Amino acid sequence: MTGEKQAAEARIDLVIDQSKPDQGSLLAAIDGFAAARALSETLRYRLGLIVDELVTNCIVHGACLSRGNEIRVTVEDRENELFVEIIDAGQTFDPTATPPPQCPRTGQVAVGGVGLSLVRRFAEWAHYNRSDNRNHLRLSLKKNEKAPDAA
Amino acid sequence: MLLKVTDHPEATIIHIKGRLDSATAPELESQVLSSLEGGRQHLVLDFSELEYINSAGLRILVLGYQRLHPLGGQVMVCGVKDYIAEVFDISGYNRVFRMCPDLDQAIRYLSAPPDGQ
Repeated sequence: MTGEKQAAEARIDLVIDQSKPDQGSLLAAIDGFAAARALSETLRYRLGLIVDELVTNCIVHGACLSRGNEIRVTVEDRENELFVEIIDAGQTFDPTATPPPQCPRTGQVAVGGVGLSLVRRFAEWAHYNRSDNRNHLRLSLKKNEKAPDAA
Repeated sequence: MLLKVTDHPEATIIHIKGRLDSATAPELESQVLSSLEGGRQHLVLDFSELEYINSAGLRILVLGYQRLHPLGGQVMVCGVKDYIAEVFDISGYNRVFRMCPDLDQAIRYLSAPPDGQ
């Protein structure tokens, strides 16, 4: 059997803004990239969820697109990790600064904060900084798929 | 996303196929609210053909729990794929919703809940 060997590393760069605000197309492009890279369904899901939650946060809470700004998303498939960078010009917001909520066994169950909590638990590491009036978030997903600790 | 709703004497069973995300969650929310207003005691979500869920989708389940729990009802989630199950584990929602391997077990529970629940 013959076949082309897949490149060791690859990246995809995507932008959404007010003129093309389709988050669904962005997520579909990332899932297509992950499928083309033959990532497992677990990694594909984690990658899509992380980008989905972070971009949603930019749009809903950072008011990025309503201000006419753009959101830039880069995903790099590296040897041992997936690297994700999200840059937006919305309001200053550090998603790594808020502690993940703890879910009680019963009674008042929290709704807010779950998306960012999932992002932080799936990410191996995450770094945030604000420069050039933009939020810069970089994070990594390990490829070994070890399950994160439960809440 | 495709929704299929089945009535059971004790519950509304909602089968969800495809993606449950920010774009599709409002449709499920509308269905869940309609079911709750119908007076069913439990809500069963069959996720055996669910391919994706994000926090917007999870929020609808919590909404159902917040309405049903004070009345003694439950939200039952069944057939979750392995790669999706971990979001219930790490969020802690697997302790709040009754997780069942498949719809048959959920229905068996509804017919004969253990310990007279």
